[in-house]
Amino acid sequence: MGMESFMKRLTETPAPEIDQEAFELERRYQRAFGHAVPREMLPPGISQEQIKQAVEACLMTGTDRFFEVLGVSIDPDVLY
Amino acid sequence: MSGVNADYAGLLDTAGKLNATANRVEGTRNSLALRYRQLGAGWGDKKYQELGDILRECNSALRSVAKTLLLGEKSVLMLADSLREYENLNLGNGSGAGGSQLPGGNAAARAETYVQDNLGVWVNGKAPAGYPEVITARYENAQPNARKVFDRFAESLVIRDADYPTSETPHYAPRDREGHPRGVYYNAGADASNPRGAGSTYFHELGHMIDHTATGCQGHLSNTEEFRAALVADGENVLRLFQQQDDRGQDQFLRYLYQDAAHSFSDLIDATTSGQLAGRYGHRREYWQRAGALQAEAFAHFFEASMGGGWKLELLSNMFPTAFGIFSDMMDSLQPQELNRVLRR
Repeated sequence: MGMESFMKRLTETPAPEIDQEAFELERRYQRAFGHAVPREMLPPGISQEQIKQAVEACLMTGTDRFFEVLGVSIDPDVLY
Repeated sequence: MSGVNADYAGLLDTAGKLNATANRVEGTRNSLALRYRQLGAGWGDKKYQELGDILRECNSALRSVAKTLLLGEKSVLMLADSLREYENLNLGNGSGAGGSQLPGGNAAARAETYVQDNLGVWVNGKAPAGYPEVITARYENAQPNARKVFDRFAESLVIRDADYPTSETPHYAPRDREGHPRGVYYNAGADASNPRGAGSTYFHELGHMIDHTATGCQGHLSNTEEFRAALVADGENVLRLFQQQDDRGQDQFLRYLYQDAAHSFSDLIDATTSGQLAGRYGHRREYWQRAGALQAEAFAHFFEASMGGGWKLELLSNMFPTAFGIFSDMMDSLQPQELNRVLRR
């Protein structure tokens, strides 16, 4: 299946349920800071509630201090 | 006891060096075959055949050297295990704690016991109940070319800590550092209930290690301009198609993108469109500025999806068709029979 027909299939099939509030909040984060919530770099022990609070803190201050707020340190020498 | 600890650490260090040397030998073997194949594009006479004969002998000799080194590594690890058992016995007797472990909270300080999991990967740490079955089921449902690559590299792959704290991010460390040797660090318990799909972290991080090991740890197989350009071009095509949708179509697409199972697609589309299109998952922007990071992440995502990833394989292969084709070529180039075919020429 080509890219176009695959996308057509997705857009014409009802998507599964999502958390609407989180969806809208994270869309605001993406528009404000130019990237998705960096979940691929988060430890598994961070809860959705902690992520939500960190996103809100970033949006409130207008600064992308997501990892600082969560207390997550990033190692520049490893691959995540 | 300090002398025993030092010996144990020294043995692990030796085993690591044997493994790294074996990987370098394998890298040389692959490199020679690749160069011979490249030569074949414009040169196919008798001399080329003669060179092929010489290379076949070299290939056989290098394979034998690598095998000997890996056997040596295995023996050293067994010796290290025996030494550690002796060490624990003495610690237990001394403290009266019966099997008490070395003190400390990090992987380096904890007692380490490497065993091979069901798929042949060296693992330090316990797997939760049901987890090995999940990993095995994914392996059995894997794409054949990816599974063969996994088989080929399994004995060179090392999970340094499968009980890595859940307060730390899982990762692959490509270089040895004091107290943090090269290998994979993750929490198997968390991966058993991973919202992205059980076993996703296992195959993702080992994908990074294969990408690195395939070059004899002299870089990453994925780190080519062709792969990077294909990822960006595919991403831009997805963005163009997305922008052609009406509001309802765009909303519908974003809701798919927001699924946990779409995490790898979300990550790659976020990276390749500079955040113009993204779902629930990504890396921070600075991460993508590292040389080769986009290709390395794409390789690990594609590999993980190919190892029984289900719907995410369909999503990635359709949304990043050119890049996925290049990844498939990489998988094919790592097949043992590919090397033999080249040498037979």
